[in-house]
Amino acid sequence: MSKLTRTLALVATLAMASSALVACGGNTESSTAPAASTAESTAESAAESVEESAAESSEAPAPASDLTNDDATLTVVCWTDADLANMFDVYKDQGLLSDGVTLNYQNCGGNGGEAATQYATYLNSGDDVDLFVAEAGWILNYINDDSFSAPLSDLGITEADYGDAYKYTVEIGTDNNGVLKAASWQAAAGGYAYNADLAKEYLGVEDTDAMQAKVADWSKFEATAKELKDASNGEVKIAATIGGLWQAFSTAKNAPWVEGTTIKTDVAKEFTDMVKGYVDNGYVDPSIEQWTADWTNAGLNGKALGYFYSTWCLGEGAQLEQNGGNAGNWRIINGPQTFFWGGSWLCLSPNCNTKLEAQKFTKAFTADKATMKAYALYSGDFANNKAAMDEIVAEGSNSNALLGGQDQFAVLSDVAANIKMSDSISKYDQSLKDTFLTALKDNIKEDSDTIIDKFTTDALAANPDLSK
Amino acid sequence: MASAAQRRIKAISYAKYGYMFIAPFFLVYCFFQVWPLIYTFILSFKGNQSEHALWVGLNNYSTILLGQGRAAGAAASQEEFFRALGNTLILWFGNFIPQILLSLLLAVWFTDAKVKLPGKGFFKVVMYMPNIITAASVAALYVNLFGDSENYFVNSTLMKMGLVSAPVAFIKGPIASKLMVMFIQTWLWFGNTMIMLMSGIMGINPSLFEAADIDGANSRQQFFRITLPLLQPIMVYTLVTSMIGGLQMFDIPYLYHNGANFNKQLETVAVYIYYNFNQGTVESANYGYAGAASIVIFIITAILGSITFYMNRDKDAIAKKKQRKKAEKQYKAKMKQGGLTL
Repeated sequence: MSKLTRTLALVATLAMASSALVACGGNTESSTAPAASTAESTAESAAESVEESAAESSEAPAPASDLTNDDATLTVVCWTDADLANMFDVYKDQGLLSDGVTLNYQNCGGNGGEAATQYATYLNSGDDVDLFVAEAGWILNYINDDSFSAPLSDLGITEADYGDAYKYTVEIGTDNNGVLKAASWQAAAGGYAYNADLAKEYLGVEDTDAMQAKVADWSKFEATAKELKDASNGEVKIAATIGGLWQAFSTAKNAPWVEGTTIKTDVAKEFTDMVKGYVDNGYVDPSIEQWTADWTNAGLNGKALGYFYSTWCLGEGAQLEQNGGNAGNWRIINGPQTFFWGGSWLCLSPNCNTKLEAQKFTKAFTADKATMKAYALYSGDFANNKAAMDEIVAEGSNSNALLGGQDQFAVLSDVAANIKMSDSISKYDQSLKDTFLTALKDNIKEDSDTIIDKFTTDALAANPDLSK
Repeated sequence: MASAAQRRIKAISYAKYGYMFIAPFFLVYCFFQVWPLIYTFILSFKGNQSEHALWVGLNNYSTILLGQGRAAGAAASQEEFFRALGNTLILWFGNFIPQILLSLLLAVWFTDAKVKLPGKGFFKVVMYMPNIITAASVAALYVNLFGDSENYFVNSTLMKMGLVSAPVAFIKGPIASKLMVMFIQTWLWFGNTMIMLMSGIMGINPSLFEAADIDGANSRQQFFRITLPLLQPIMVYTLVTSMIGGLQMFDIPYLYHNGANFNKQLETVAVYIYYNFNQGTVESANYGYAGAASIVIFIITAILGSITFYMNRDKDAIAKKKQRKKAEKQYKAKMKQGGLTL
């Protein structure tokens, strides 16, 4: 009897104590010794999956030619689930999926900014992660840290595979030591999409060329904004958000946020001056936040003539459709400046335990012309492969129903070819951009020097590495 | 002479089973409470962003408190921290005062035998209800009701009624957003405080009220002379818990925003800590500032807590203790004198 009680007490004690130890150990281990936590997650997911074969060994890093799948699930951590869903569809349609492997994406954060802060926790958690998606604004944080990302050469992928890729995508995917760590499936060229019915009603514009002429540069854009406001009694704004205007305005300048350790505010100042005029005159509503329900409704309810979009907004189920593009009465043009917006890269986790599938997947969407062409046609996204995109434009095989049959690739292919950002991005970009737009919108009634001052204060407080 | 068996029985100690049973708690407590606490102290002496591995001594404290430190933006960090501290105090005062007044009033009404309120139980439940909704749902509810544009219920109603000509910025406005948070916090917590105060009032001996009645005291006199003084221990408890909670106020100020980023005008110290801590990788986060701010808020809480206790200590008991000591001293002195005379 007493022996039984004693044994039970001991078992209970050990069980609780060991749970505490495991919870602690998992975190520290995965950041210091990736191999150990790979073993852990392999064991975990193998136990979960029906496949029995996966459990054995697998620890020695396999040479590139000899990749295996030690786990039955390829997990891609992202916040861009719509993109990933499209990619998985294409991957399956093309018959590329290996037998017994399941594809899985894991959303982490609702947008790129949230993902930037939540990834570190997620990637350290020991949960299964093979590939993860990172955005231009903060990719440098992750590819320059070996505990988060591994070289693509582990998958046998080198720069030589990216002859047809847009050059900037390769430059950004390379870390400080010149190691290729990320590859992009898209070239994020941007354009101005507008509601053609509203344009006809208020501006008397019949086709895209006429519309482009009306917004060909920022002064014409502003004049059109005024015309639109007057014609619609202030009901319709030319652009939905300040965030969209900023993207078009700033990326075209290709000016770095940070030079050395100094925060550069010239472009921000210029933009503040311009946008204050827009707000004062009622050309844009400062209370609407980018990517919110308000933002979606502005287009849907005919309160906004147009949006500044990146290519990844134009596909099925993506932003254009949600903003009212499903009526097929929207059109896309280059807008006042050629610009680009974000762009996402696939990075390899050091804990990848589905290397064979990860290699196939990464190659298919970042280097393989046929798959990338299929993906571009399927999703409306602008694939990161010049040859494939040129072919689509030449064939005229793409027509986007949301844009009334217009081929967005024809409009955007020149833009993609001219994207330059590799020399201007820094790991502080996302944080500085968010801080700036917040300071701008919170203090829109102040004069522009005050706004820039407030921005600098907030930016310096958040980034002790930087100076004025 | 005791037999071997007797000796063995004497030697059996059951204490070790006791230790076994409490061991899990202490292990978990050490790992998840004590160590993080110590680690926060350690972090507060380390650098930020690219200097995250460096020992910087008191640099983080001098940066956020005095505006002098290694970083070029030290003054900016100080400004940010004090803005957060100011917001915390404003938001706490702004919700504590209406909350305690409202709760006290309702508690007195609900417990007064002479005021026969119908449906007491119903109102108690309804008033406590907000407290059991999660803060996330509350924030979502208010953000969707009080959005800044005319697409949202409150603004569209106000505009249709002709009360305002343009939408009121309930979320972005620097003053309106603070008032909203104060209101939400009050609404969330007054039920809880009310229940607490009610239990305090019901603990007061009813014969006191009866005696006061017979002596002809009106209800105002009863409230100020009987209820309030005897409620003091519960009031102190409410004040201290509310103060600790108020200084750590996080959920509503952080969640009450539209769009991706939290509302800077509502940045409390807890939000400041979270923001500096949660910036992705260690290279971009400010663990040092976050740690130092945590310690500062810990010290402030400790000081305010001690002051409250000092001010509300049982003065009679202390006076009695003093008297006793004095008497003891006198007695001793007397004895000494007596000793001398002998």
